[in-house]
Amino acid sequence: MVEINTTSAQADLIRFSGLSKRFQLKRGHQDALAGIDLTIRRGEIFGIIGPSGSGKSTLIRMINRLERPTQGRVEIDGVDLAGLDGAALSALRHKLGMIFQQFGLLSTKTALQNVAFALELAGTGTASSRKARALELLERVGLSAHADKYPAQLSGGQKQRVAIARALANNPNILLCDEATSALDPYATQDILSLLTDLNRDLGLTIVLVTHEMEVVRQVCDRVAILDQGRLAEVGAVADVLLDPQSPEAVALAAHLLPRPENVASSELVRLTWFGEDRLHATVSGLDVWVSLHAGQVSHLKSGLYGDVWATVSGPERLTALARLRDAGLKVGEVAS
Amino acid sequence: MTEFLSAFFVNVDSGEILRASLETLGMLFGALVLSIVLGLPLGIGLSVTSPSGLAPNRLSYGALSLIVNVLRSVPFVILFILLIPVTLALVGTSLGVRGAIPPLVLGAAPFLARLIEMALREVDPAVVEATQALGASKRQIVWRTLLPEALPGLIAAVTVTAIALVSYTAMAGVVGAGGLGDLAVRYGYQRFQTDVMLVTVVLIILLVQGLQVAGDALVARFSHK
Repeated sequence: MVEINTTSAQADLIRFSGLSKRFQLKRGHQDALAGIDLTIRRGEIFGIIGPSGSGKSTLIRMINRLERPTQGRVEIDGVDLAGLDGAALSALRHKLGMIFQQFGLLSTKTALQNVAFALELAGTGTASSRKARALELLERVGLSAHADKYPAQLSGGQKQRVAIARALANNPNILLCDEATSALDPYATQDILSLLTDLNRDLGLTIVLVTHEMEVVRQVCDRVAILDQGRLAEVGAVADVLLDPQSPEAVALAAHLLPRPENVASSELVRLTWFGEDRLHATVSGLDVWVSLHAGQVSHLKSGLYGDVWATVSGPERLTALARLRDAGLKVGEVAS
Repeated sequence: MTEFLSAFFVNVDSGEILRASLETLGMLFGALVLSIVLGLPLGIGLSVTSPSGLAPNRLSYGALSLIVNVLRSVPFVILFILLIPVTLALVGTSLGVRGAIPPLVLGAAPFLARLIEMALREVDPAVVEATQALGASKRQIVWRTLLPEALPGLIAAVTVTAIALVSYTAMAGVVGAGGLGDLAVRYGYQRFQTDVMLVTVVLIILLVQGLQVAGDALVARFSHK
């Protein structure tokens, strides 16, 4: 039996070391993951991002052993998963919630029955206690009014809420989300993301989230790993990766969040990014420059405000202004001389 | 009108028709129940051991598949005759309703098994994976997820098999099993009594129609898509 200790002072919860996965194809093979070393900390929302085929889904599925590594190790709270099989594997999975892009709800069961199903499989409680617990969970995700509906009668966002309630049924301390918002419209996506943030805060739930959308990572994640063709391109706090991307993959993802405005030909166009309160106008006021904003947003990262704008800075004191912005901690990118 | 009808259906003996109908129904439902008993585990076995199944096993799948294919490729009338020694050993006679049941079951069960394999394959893989992630054992996945989720498909498979069995019973009638098929051949064909032929055909059509309507209603009842 695997006991995952939530109260342990140890910050590291999930550790991948030297993890590789090779799929045998009809001709040759494909390396889905190659030598991944990565640690996910207790209580954080950890994003895994990458294009399709980057191995991100394979990586998250290693955590509950839906996928087994060809080489390397996966440890949860210091317990190596390699030896787990049968009942021990089931016990592990009862303590790891997972939600999917396609929800995976049983079409022949109501919302309530779907949630209770997780408890039945784990063999917990009596029929009436399971029903009570399932109702409580549906209430937690705001769906108690829809308890007796079948999945076909629910919207995508509602289905994902049922799936979250089901994933939480056995009190897991880790929730795995495999492209959980990719099939949802923008409103439902916001809805699910704020629910995930609440659960992380209120229950101390560690969330591992696979996505191909940097927007999702920006909104909810503490840290992020960027995968590309089975390799770890970069890992770090979301603010660091956005402000100071090291790898070409990270640069591309950060750029993708706010594309260069196409209708601006000016060579004085710059991209300004910063973390924290808006200091743009305060920094350049008094200088003989004109600043015009073309595109931008100030958004909330989990760790604070993040500003990202495309602006033209022109006028006699342009270079002084840019230097002051840099001194004030803003990042100034794409400056034509 | 009535006079015309009784003049036209001069050869139709309602007692004989009733007896033959009951024989057909007996063969149909006896064989159907046993086909489910045999075909369901066989279908589950095919599905589970198939290359995309829960526990892929090339050898088991190949063996099960071969048995099913062999039984399905022999035309039913020939299967019936081939199986006479087996039938004699099993039920002591190769005639009548009792003698028809073993070949009917061996003809229909593999057919049903293939349909069940297909119905189970239709279950959304995302649902199976989600159940796996919930810590379900393979046994739980089969019994708690695959079979309930495939229920409408399974009912449709049984309906199709029942209808195939109706035509098997008619063929069995030709080789001594009795029933409506026997009546149609002995009176309608060999004695040129077209009226008997007509009545048996209409009864068989009504039977098939009834089975289809009942099957469709059950599929609708259990489907929540």
